[in-house]
Amino acid sequence: MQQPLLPIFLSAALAFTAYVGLVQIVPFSVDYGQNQPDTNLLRVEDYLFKPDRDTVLAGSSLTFLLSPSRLGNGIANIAMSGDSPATDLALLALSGATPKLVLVEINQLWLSVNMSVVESELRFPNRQLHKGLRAFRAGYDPANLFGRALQALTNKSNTELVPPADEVHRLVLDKQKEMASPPDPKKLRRDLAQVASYLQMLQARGTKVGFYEMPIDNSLTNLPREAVLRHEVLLKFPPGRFCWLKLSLPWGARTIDGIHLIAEDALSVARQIRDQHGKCLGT
Amino acid sequence: MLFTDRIFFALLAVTFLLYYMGRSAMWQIGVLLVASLVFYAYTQPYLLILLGFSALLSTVTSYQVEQADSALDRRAWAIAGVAVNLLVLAFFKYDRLFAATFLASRPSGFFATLLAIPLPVGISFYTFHGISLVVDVFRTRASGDTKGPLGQRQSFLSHSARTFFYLTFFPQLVAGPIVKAKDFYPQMGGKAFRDIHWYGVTKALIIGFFLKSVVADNLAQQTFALEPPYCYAFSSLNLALFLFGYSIQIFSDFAGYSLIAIGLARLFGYALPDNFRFPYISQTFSEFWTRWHMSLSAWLRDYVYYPLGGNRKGRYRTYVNLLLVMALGGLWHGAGWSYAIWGLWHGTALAVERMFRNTRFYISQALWVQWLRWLLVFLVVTLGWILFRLPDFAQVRELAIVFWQNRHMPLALSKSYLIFLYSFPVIAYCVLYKLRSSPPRAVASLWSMRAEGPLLGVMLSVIILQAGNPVPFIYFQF
Repeated sequence: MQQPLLPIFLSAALAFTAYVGLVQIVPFSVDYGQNQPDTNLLRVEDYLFKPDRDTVLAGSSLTFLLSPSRLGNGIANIAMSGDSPATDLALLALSGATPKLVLVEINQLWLSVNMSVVESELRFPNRQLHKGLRAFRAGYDPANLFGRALQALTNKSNTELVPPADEVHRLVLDKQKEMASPPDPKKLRRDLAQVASYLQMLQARGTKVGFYEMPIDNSLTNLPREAVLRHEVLLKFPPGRFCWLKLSLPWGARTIDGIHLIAEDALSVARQIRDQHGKCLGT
Repeated sequence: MLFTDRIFFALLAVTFLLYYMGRSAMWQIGVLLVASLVFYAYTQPYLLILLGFSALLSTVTSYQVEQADSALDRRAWAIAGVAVNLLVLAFFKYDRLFAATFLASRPSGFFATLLAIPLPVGISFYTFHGISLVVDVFRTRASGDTKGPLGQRQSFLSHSARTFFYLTFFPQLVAGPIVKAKDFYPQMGGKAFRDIHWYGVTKALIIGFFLKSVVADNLAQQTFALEPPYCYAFSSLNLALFLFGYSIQIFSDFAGYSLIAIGLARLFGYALPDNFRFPYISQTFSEFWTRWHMSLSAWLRDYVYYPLGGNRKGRYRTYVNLLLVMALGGLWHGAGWSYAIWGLWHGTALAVERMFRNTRFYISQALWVQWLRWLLVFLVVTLGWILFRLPDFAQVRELAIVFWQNRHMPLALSKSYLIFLYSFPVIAYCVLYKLRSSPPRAVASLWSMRAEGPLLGVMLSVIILQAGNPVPFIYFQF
């Protein structure tokens, strides 16, 4: 004899409705997802579904480190760790967002757009579900909400993991090797053309565009990958036509691996962006 | 195509409708055959050529075994059938390993082109199915059975259709369970919609998708940190937790896949063999291998271990057979020496256990000794998974160094929490099984109070709300 299926589907519907209702009604505030891709999407969705800030930072893991609270109320940081700044631009351009200013990090523009993230975020019914029901958004899943609640109760915060000095030195040497060869010129030009097309879409909607280069370890700044990339970006988006921020750390960038700043330096860079972005806005 | 892809659900729905529109076996087999080919060819259509070629070889050789009048001819065709399947496997799966091991310089020209052919998905499974078919037809005919599904003579066309169906049946095509021909052929026939066991199908699919999408895919987001250079950022305790998490992840990934395959096959009226039965409760290594990837263990036992003499040729020969079978089983998993070493790791554990099986440690029924045996098996098995996660020896060495040095990093609490959280259902699953199968029976009686249905319902809602970013099934690479 067959066992009934009704208890399965009834309890599924009840559990699902209860959770979705809870997340919809209670104003949870979530800063981090349970993993990096979720945290990336959490920040993107926070901005796309509530575009209440004038300026948006499009970047990679280098910019991701800049704490949204340090950037101030007017700046949204949607940089995605592990992805190209071009992915952010694609999301902004194709979603119809209309920020007043987009600031683009140039360091990782040699990476192509991650279209799987863009498509997954913008396709039907994901976008509608994510917009309408918070339970479907990145970071609002049961495991993460429960984890964040535990974190709040135990008063534990995410600590910065800084490797020992010898390890940092080894990682910088690895990066030196990695960045010793220039990016493929054909691919780079193709990727920059794609970036330009997204920027044109945004500009057509009235968005202003600016660029900045995140400080990295001094020994890496002029290696072929960075130098060629900088040259090509400046050719494509010259300072005469686009706003460029000048970010610097007088004592040289202190990093955990050559390219990712330690918290103190990230804080200083965040302040510089907050102080300078007004000139790109024309205020 | 993955079982977790949206397009798969569309294919499944269309196939299901068409399948039950007709009642004849040939119609239904035809529908499933076409659906299986679409499923396989969806992302890499050119791989159909190899699948077709391999299936044709198995069809021709098994047909000749079936038709042969003399025992000598039968044996010759059976040997040919096994050999061609092994050759296909060796050529397409182990070519790079052989080249890297035995060639002094990097091959160029035609050989380089051959080596560039990617590993065909599921080749380890469909070649093993092919071998099973040839051997089972041979054994059936040798036993004098001419009436059964494998023994009776048929037209080449009918034999081809059934063979192609057996080899390509999509629930088991790319990652098993490995179903023996002698178990599958008797099931071929017309199936009726009313005979579908809906509860069994639903239960297998819910538990399967839960294990895969909720447990394995979410754990994968944490356990990647075992890989250098990520491991440098964590303390030894965290790395040990990641390894524990990977142990749960690999079980959930493969057991989840197997349950989905079993559920899907049941939807079309076919019973595939169980592939996992709570392997992590095992107290001995031999018990572990009767609970882990059971269809492969049974295949290796029937077609390799027994033909080698099993345990009938003395102690030392038994140890050698165990090592050999497990090393081959390891190599079957992946074309790398690390997989062979993983197999030898298990082979050694089995041989040592056999050596000491009459000692108090293995005979005692004291609870603490049972726990100790369980702990030993779990630790050895979990350590072995490092070779699965990091098939490059240099990476294993790096991980070992980082682990040994213990960099005094603070414990990454959120990662530890997530490892425990996602491992919990598997631990609870094992504990529940133990409680149900041994006194006290309080939990068993609670279970019988129809708690299973609502629990499955909650699991279904968690699948919708908590599925991780889809990660390809680990066993797809094999």
